[in-house]
Amino acid sequence: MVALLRQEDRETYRYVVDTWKGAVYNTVLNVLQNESDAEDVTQDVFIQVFESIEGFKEESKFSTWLYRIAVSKSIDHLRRKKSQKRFAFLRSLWNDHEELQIEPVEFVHPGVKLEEKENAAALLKALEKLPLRQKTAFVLNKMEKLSYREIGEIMNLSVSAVDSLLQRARQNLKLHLKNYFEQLNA
Amino acid sequence: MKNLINQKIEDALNSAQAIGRAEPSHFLFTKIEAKLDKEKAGPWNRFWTYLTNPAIAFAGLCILLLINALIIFGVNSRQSPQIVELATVDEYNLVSSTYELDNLNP
Repeated sequence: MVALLRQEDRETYRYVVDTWKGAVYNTVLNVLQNESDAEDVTQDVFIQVFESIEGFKEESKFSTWLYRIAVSKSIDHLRRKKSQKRFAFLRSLWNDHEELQIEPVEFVHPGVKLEEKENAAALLKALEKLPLRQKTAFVLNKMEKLSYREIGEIMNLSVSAVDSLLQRARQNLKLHLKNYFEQLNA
Repeated sequence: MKNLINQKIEDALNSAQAIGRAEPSHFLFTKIEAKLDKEKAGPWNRFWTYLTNPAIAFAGLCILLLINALIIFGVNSRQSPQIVELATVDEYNLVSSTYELDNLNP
């Protein structure tokens, strides 16, 4: 398959997209929590894969490399969006007529069952507040069901480092969820 | 109350298992192919696309106008000393002719 990708065989491109689009899209969607952005970044991930296939040394699995690109593109996108928001805010200070674009407050995951909608919404809201690395590790483990070893290969971490990251993610999520539910009951 | 909140926290954490798979657009591969073909169109095509970006075109126009203004004002400031020089010569001739008129009489 890698050899055919290097020959820019379009049928192989289609096969790769059809096989891994679910994994890539869901990883990106859970990190970005925005369907439109997830669509764009998913496209960018596959384009990056096809354009840099020569750089794939086959030391790791193809899926590991794919996830690595997906995670990297997602993080880059979030950082770019953050700096754009900062710039827009500064512009709005000088220009009274310009309205700040406000992001929708609640992201509704298209894959959530109706009966779990409230709990999932609370979790996703808390997930948004996590540091990027903790968020990524949580998404890869709990939503993509990847093992600690696989996550370590994707994020270039040891298994114990992944374990530590996930423990901190869980602690922080509990803290944010506690604040959320206490405010709700107040 | 505390137990209730703790239970809600656990339920929320466990809901991660219940988040199903979302499907990307049916046209994902078509869009990817289109982007790949666009990039393959060549560097000149990309350069032209970049140049015709309104922000880039406007910035280029401003730079061109600035250069023109600098050239025009630069030429004008070089001309001014010549005019002063001519005026001085005129003045000198005027003074000289007055002197000549005065000295005509013995």
